[in-house]
Parts: sequence; C-alpha cells; structure tokens
Amino acid sequence: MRNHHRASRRRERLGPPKVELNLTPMIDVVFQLLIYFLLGTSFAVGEQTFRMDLPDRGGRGQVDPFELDDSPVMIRVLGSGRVDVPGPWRGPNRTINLAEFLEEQRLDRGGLLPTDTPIHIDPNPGVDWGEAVEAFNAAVLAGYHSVGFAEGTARAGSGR
Amino acid sequence: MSALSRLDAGRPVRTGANLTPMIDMTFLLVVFFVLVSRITAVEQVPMELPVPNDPASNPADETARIVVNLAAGELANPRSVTLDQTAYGLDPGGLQNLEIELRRRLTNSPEVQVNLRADRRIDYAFVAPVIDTIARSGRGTGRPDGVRVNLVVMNEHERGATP
Repeated sequence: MRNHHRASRRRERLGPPKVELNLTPMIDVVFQLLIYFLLGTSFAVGEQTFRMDLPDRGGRGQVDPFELDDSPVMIRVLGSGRVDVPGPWRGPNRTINLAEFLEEQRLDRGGLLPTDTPIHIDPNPGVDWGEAVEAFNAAVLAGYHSVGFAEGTARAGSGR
Repeated sequence: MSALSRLDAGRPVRTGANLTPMIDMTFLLVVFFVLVSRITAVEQVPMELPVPNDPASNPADETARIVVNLAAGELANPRSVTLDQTAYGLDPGGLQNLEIELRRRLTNSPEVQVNLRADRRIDYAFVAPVIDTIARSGRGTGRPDGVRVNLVVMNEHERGATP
C-alpha cells in the first residue's frame, strides 16, 4: 500500500506521460533508399540528337504536282573511314574530309549546292552505325538542312 | 552564474538538432529518384552510342517521345529491337508488330517523336530495317512530313561525371 502511494506520488511529480513516435527506423530506411537510388541511377548525360523527318515514300501518299524533284547528293559510306561522293567534282575519300568538302560546295560559299539540297547517306550494309552517323554529322555540320539515310531510292529523310 | 543557468535552474538542459527539414529534403530526394529511375530504366538500355567528332547534334528537347533501342548483342549485332521493355525480333514478323505498336502510339499522340538509340558497333544492315519500320509506322497518322525521328548520339564534350 505504501509502495503504491509512493509510485503515484512519483507519477504526479513527473507530470503526464509523454507519447512520442520513434522515427529512427523510418529515417534509417529512407537513408538506405536514398543511397541506393544515388548509386543506382544513371542519367542520360551527354546524349544529344540529330533530328530527321522520315516520310513514308513507299505508301500511297498525296503527291504534290508542283513539287520539284531535287536530285540528291549521295554519300556512300564504304567503311574504314572511306566515303565516295559521286558527282561533277573531285570528292573526298575520307569521312574526316567530308564536312569541309560539303561546305565548299554550298552555293553561298561559291559552290553549286543550295543548303536545302537533299543529302542522302548511303552506308554499305556492313558499315558500323557509328560510321554512318559520322557521315550524317558531317553533312549537318556543313550546314545542309535536308540530310537523311537512303536505301536504294526507296527511302530518304530530311534532318538537321 | 550565467543567465542561461538562471533560466533553467534545476532542470537538465536538453539539446537536440531539429531533424525535420533534413527528413523533408531526404523524402523529396527519394521521391525524385524513384520517379526518375523508373523513367530511365524504361528508356535507357545500356549501349555504346555513336560519338561523332565535332558533333553538330542538338540537346534533346522535352517533347513527348517513344524510345526505340537497338543494343548490340553478344556477337555485336542485335537479335531484337526494344520499345519500352518489350523486345521485337528483327525478322519480318517482329518488325511488323513493332510497326503496329508504333503506329498505335503515333496515332494516339500527334506530337510524339521517336528517339532511335542504336549501338555504334551494329552493322547498318540491322539498323536500316528499323528505320524503314519507323518510316512506315507514320502511314495514316496524319504526318505529311513523316515521322519525326531523333538519332541519339553521345556528345563527349557535354558528358559529365555519370554516377
């Protein structure tokens, strides 16, 4: 009985009991998740794009009777850094010289080609995609607006 | 006796950092990473993208996009092309299924573009049929200029430290 009174007096002296939520495990888990996502996430840093419109030339689209059929400049990508640009010029043999050559051919640089001349990249089937894109990049770098890939005469795009 | 001691005379001094802002920030970061990592997992397949010298490419814009991935297989050339996390074979049947799915999405979203991510080591012979398929998928979707395709490359100059 005396013990009971003593305990109740102690409770009164300490005041009402405090009820607190223990957040520590939740914070631990949240930090674990944060570290996991920090380490596991990889962003598409450095990824860029070449824009290209791909018309469906094989379909029965509407044909504009007034549209002039510009003859495209074909750039054959032969592999191992070699290219061939057939035409009334002495074209470059190497991809690294392609951008400079195409820029010299621009009408506003004293050449024959307006910048909206269709440029068709025609890689050999065994050529790496990276090398095909390198030729595409050279044409865009030279300032042409209508660059695409060719497969025979069936398909061409226009890109920049 | 100092002023502080006089104020708290007879009581133990309780010191504690207020953790609430830190927990708030941590939760925000977790939510951010959960959302972002889900998106990139769907769109980003690890591969070696083309790295042009002196690239004339543009930063990717925020337009709605469909990402078509063509990753190199064990023997360099791929066996399938993936759209989101669905793989389509490079045989005529697989490419036809890809065309149907692309056309469905292009019809539903008039503004959507197609991002083509292809490994630089792949032969062009494997990429060309995928480009043809993307071009065909625009048929009947009200795109007179054709499907807008973005060829994805890596610009080493823009590349920072990747976690």
